[in-house]
Amino acid sequence: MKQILASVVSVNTIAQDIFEMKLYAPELFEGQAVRPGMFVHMLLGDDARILRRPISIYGANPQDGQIALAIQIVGQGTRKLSEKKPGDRVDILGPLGNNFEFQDARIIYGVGGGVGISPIRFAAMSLNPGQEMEAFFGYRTQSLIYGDEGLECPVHITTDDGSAGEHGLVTAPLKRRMAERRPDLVICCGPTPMMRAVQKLCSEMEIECQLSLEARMGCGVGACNGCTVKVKDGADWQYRRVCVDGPVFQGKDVIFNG
Amino acid sequence: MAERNLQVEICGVKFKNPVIAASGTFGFGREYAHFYDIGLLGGVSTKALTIAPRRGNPMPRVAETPSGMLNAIGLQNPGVETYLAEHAQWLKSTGTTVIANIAGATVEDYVAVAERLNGAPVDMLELNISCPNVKQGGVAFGTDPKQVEYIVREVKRAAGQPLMVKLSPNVTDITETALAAQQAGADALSLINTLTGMEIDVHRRRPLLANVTGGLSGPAVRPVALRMVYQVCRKVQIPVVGMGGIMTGEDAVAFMLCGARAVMVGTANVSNPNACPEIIKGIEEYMIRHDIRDVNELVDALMV
Repeated sequence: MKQILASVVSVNTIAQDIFEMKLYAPELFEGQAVRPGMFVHMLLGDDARILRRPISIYGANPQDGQIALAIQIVGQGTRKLSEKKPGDRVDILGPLGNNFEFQDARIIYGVGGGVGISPIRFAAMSLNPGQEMEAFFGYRTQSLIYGDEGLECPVHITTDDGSAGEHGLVTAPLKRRMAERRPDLVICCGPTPMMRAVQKLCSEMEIECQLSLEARMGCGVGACNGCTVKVKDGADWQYRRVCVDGPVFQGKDVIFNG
Repeated sequence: MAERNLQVEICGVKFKNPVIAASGTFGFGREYAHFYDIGLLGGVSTKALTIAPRRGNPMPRVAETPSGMLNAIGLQNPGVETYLAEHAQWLKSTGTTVIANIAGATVEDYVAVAERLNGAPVDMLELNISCPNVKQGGVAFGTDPKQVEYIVREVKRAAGQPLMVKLSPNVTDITETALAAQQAGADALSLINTLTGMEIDVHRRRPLLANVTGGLSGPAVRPVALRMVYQVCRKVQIPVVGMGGIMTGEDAVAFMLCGARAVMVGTANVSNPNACPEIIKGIEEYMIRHDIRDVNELVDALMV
């Protein structure tokens, strides 16, 4: 993990209130790989907003030293970020966190919801020869669809309102496909209700599941204990830090009740 | 260029510069050692240590507020035994001055932690009687001068190291608790801990923190902290360490001008992992600009 003043390469709107920011930050790749599931912790560059924002990495290219982030505008801070111009600097910490471990799986189902699609798309772009993925992307509505283009794997799209793809929750096509063709591994990132449903489905079918969790975060480096989640520990449980012990946890271990 | 002195001394304990990482945002220092040599810091105050491990409060535990943050971590820590077995030697070996922050639910708990640290590689104790985020102990001891006097006296008796008492700002007159701590034998004071606050999501009609209330810190509290340090320094004879929203070298200098012998930096670390070394550099730049040879010349040098 390093603190880097990254240079903005481009900012493009890719869906309603979602923009893709490309950053030139070759230091991120020095001495380590940038893998799906990892995130950067970004300062908004505004004195009144002192906490960084954890943002999952959407794509990375070690050759040109660039990473891509898909950022949803949720408040004034992210709106200001969307107004950055090429050449502007942003202060990031990264690469932070662990990553999805999918090198031993042959058939992988990747499930994403909302901006949780980012690490799943990054995983779909990072497969080894012989590995197959099917993507299951859930959106609230058609205008929020991003991340589905240019993937070589099959992509199942659902929307809550039926405005595109299959009407309903992403777990419907997932459940169907799991019955038709059993995957070795399910990886998932999205809103808590979705991850809870995927966790349950995988548990019932005894399929390994890895969940990438989101949390309100403080330091991002493991010091402040601000971003903990409940994780099983034998018969007991403990709070573990999303920033350094995660964000990816084994689905069977995550306890989703605060 | 003339040699400039940054070293300070607080009740006989030497700090190579006046910048101390505050308890709670710095763990036991290991995480920040990825970013810089923490031996360069004046000191490190550990995450609060309790006699038994503590899991802390439910999520969410942190929230951003204008120029500040709220936290309700709830003293999550692995316990004093784990600190001694796994972290104490390492932290001391970095070359920084080590302050062990101690907490508990009862006076007996505090005394037990202080006793356990007797002879440990720890230079000073910091008595945390000002945590607003736990049901028992913490701020319950820190807001009543009589309680302050009692707990400080008991812990002082058990302590093998100089004892600094961390004061709560959640009182009507902080000089009363400051004087009570001094009266009971405290060797130094640190202030302020966080101000109790809350924030809510009006659309969901829910508090942002699971604990409902939390401790406010960051630049938002700095004027309050500065005023309290100023008031306390006018009343007590023992050394004072100032903190509250320090983000830059100039902020640190402001606390020293009000009478603080050293400063603690907390929330700035959360925002910027390199905050402490940058603040040390900022103090040096201030000294160069104003041709100050010894950082101790800044202490209480405010012209009113």
